[in-house]
Amino acid sequence: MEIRAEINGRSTVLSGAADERLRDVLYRSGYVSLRDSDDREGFAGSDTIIFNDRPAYSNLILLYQAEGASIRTPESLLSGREISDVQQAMIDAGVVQSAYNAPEAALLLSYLLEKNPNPSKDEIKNVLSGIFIRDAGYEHYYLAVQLVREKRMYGEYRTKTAPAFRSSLRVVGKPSGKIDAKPLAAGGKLFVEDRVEPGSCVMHVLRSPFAHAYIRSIDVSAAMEVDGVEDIITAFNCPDVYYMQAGQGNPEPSPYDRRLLNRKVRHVGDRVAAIVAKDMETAEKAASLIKVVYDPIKPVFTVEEAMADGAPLVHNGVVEYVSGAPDDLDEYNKSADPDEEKVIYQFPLHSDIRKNIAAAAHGGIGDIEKGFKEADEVIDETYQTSQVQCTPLEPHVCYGHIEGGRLTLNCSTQVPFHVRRIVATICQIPEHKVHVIKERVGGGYGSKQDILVEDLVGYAVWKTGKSIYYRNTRAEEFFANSTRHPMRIRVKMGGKKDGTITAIYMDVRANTGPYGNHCLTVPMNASSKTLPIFRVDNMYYDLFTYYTNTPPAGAYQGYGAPKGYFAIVSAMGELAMKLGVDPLEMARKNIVEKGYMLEILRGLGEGREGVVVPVGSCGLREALDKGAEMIGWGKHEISDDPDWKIGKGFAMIQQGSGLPGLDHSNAQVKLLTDGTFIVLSGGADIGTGLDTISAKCVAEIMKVPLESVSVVSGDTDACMFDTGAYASSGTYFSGNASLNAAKDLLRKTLEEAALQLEVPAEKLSVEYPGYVVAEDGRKLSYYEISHTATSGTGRGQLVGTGSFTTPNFAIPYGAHFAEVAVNIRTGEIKVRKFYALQDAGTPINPELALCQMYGAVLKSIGHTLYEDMVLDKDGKCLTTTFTDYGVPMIQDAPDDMKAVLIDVNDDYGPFGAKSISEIACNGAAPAIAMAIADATGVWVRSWPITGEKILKALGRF
Amino acid sequence: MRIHRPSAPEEAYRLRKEIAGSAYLLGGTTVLTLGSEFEDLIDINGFIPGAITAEGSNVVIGAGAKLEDVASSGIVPPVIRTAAASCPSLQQRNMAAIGGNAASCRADGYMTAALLASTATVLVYDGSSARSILYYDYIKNHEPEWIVLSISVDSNADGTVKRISRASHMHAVVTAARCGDHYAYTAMPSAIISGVCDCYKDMVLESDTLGSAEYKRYLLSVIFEEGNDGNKS
Repeated sequence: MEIRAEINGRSTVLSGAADERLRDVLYRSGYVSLRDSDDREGFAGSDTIIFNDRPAYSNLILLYQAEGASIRTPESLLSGREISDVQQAMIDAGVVQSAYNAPEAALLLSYLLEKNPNPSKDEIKNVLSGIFIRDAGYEHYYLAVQLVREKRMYGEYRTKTAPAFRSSLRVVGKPSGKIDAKPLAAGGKLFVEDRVEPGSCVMHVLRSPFAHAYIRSIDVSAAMEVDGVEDIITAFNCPDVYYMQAGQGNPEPSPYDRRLLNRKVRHVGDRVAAIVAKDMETAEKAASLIKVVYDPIKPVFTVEEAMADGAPLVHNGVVEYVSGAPDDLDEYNKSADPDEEKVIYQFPLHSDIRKNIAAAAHGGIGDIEKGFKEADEVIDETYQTSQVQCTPLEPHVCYGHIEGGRLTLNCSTQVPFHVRRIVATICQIPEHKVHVIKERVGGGYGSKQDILVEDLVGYAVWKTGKSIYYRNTRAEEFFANSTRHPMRIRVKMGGKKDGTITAIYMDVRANTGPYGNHCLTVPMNASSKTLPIFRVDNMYYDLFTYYTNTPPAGAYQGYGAPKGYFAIVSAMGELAMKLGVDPLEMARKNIVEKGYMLEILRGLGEGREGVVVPVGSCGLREALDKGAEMIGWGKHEISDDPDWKIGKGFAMIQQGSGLPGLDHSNAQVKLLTDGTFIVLSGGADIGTGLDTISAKCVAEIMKVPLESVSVVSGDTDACMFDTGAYASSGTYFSGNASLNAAKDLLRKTLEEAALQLEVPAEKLSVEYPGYVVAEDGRKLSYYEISHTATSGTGRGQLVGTGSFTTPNFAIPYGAHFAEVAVNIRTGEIKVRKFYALQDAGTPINPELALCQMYGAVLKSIGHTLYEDMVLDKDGKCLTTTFTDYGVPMIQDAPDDMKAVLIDVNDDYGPFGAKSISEIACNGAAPAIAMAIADATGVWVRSWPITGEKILKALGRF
Repeated sequence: MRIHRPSAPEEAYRLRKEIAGSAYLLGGTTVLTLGSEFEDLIDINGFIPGAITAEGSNVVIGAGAKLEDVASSGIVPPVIRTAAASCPSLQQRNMAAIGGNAASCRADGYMTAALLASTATVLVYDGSSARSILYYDYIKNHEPEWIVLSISVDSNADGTVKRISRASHMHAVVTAARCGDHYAYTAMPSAIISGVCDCYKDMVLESDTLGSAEYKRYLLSVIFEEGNDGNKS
């Protein structure tokens, strides 16, 4: 049907089926800012329009209902290519990051400001109440509105968007907005779905209804007869290639325990068949005709079930090692199940799959038993974290096609080079035959470090020659995507009456689910990112990671650190309470400081011996002191209502900046013929501003305006190798590579200018805005230098190349403080205040850094209080919508929330920078748990901390 | 999906009766959302009123009135306004119709407990005529084909409503409402009751992803316990 509506002020005809969703029609009609994050749940707001002068979800409107309607989309905010003042303010405030629904947020704020030029905080909260922001939190949206008001009133901003750092630097440490933010705020064609050509095929995955079963046979004959079906891939016709989906450095510290599709399914939702068809209706019809004979096996869902004697084995095939095979391997394999696929370890991870152990590690320093004997009190408690989901607004998605005889994949990934390697391996083709293009990423948070869809799409495209688009449904995002490893962490901690901690023991039992993605590295972080914050002589940890039949686990922002901190800081708080010591004083007494030798690192090397280094730059004590002052530590707050009890808590935290000795980044910087620059960065900007960091490195070194630099990143053809954006490596590794490339270009530029000016290079310097200046006052612009260098008699284009590897650690530290109110009658919990103080070294993009802190903190509050993947007795996930699962929205953010950047300068990071966002996930759970204990006397030792658990512990029912 | 657009209740009723598995479409926030797939939708927006008017001592709310209109109305009693405003998303409030919310009789419905406690009546078309019945009776006795045309509440209804959920946008674990000495309680997944203060004791409660049955029973017991008016928190 055709309908006529007024869209963005113009009478417009829309065509489609009467029952088609308005969003789909609008997107197809060119209003591409409108996206779908929730499969029509009416939750995330990526499909928001103004419909007859009211905000509405276009996914919940059918085409026929729009007849005669007045519709505004985010495109209405644009004047040609110019964005609006609201969009600009959002960029300046730092909230435009992964930006999948940033255009919709801009539309809503514009709508509000049209109705009320001076809205209150509650009114802003109301207008953003139906939009889910995962990356940047909500705090700076209030700032964005303030900026718009000031600009409209005074013609300029009167409020600073963020503090500035390093007065000697021009762009580094200064708020500037992301260089790629304007098209993101505008709603341009930037994401994978925008690359899909008409006529492309789709892929649909038939998934297992069983948590654990052999597939005895699959009959696809009837399905293949369906008109429009191109191919069906199953365990019986896929390549016999073993790999793992985690995008880690090669060789990976994770087992190759899967093929594209396996003859045994290991979780509800595991892949059974992939159908390539002309459209989704055809694919789904074909899927319904596939006959699968399953032979179910008893599943295991928890660590306790997996470690029990005689437990069903999730993997029980032949084990192989690429290196370091144990002498008794042949004997070990005698009990292998011939019906199962192999498990291949790149090197030993102390696994024992016959006991469901995917990986294990142990280590420590000092004499743990002696330490406990010296203690006046010892606590020994077990803490449990739940399975939580990254919930990126853009689900996992991939578009693949053949171009020039090569396989081209448009991806939303954190690891384009790992995608290339793994897909090439599966297709059994050389890497040069695969081109991976990282598009803008609508949220990753670790889940897009895993190659969860690109493997299947890549192979299907290569096999069929068809262009294929695949997108996870939101439900699939829950049960077939990577999640945080649920963990059970026992902490035994001893201390003296003066607050000295004498010994710490951690027993970490992690649940990796059906496959071993990150089965060592993520759980290791529970210890490797927590124990090194303590200046304690006796520390030891044991780690076991178990296979189970839950939905898969994998990387998630913070890796295992948020779980480790929940356990270890809670234990410290409990010990302090038992000793009658102020936990803050206990922390102050036992934290590391600059120069302290981190002997504990020797045993925390993630599968190999770790390197002992001293603590470098460290703002931990300042963060603790400043945070304590801000929250009024020691001052007991009393509510007027006796039902409400108020308490305070804190956590000291650290993370890392990439993986020294493992990560590797490369970049190039080209001087173009007009004197401007292009950076080719291997690093994958996933919305966090990494491209801006690369651009700032070049602008700073070459002394040019930021506007003179563009960045191409994450394209495996155009850019050089980078291990990817994970483990907080972006700024430190990819940023340093760009910095080194800029320095190399500077050297080459000076050498070229020296030849052109006929003076020694050491007598030249560069000058803003882009000149090489000789001591005698003569100068050449970059344009002049480049023009001559690329002329018919020139010496060639100037290109700087930089790589970065390092043995040095740039550890970010911080302290988070929470004040909560708990209703001891109803169990309701309110986080009243949350202050996050972090040492990020030199924050290169300070406004983005602050928003990443707000986003990570709110995410972590969600994990602590709300979010929970619940499985039924058969392993089926019951919480596959946002509403069922429970993510924090603007109403759930603390009323008083502050992010503070502690100013320290790191010795190794680019311009003294360290990482920022992962660490911000570590503090909320322990700080809130401690605050709840302070308020109620109850320590809740499991996620989510719910009213029900508190009330039960209080004996209310 | 087939869309039917009747112009009168009689026609809508007939369609609903004739087409198995069909559903009425009003605001759309229930039937058009994930997990609600219908082959046939009967769009009743063409004849359902949406106005909110004062009629004597009552306020009559057209079933098509959006929750945002109800929440911001100057003539709707506060307990009903509060219930409508408890829908946490502005977009949802702009789209969800009070009639659809009431007719779905969900235990996590934003309006269910407040309408019950305020002894609201609904004007329903039952296939033969439009008649006014207590909302309580509608919940107990309605047939799927019945059409809610409007809702009437005492404009002086004085009460309070309390919705407890883990996070703002999650389903309510329990909701309780009181108007005078009339109480109503709902608890996920399907328990709904109305009556005296401790009528919750007769509810059959189930454990689910939101909490245990014991937890829900406890919550219901304390919301209006002596000295509390439900909104204290």
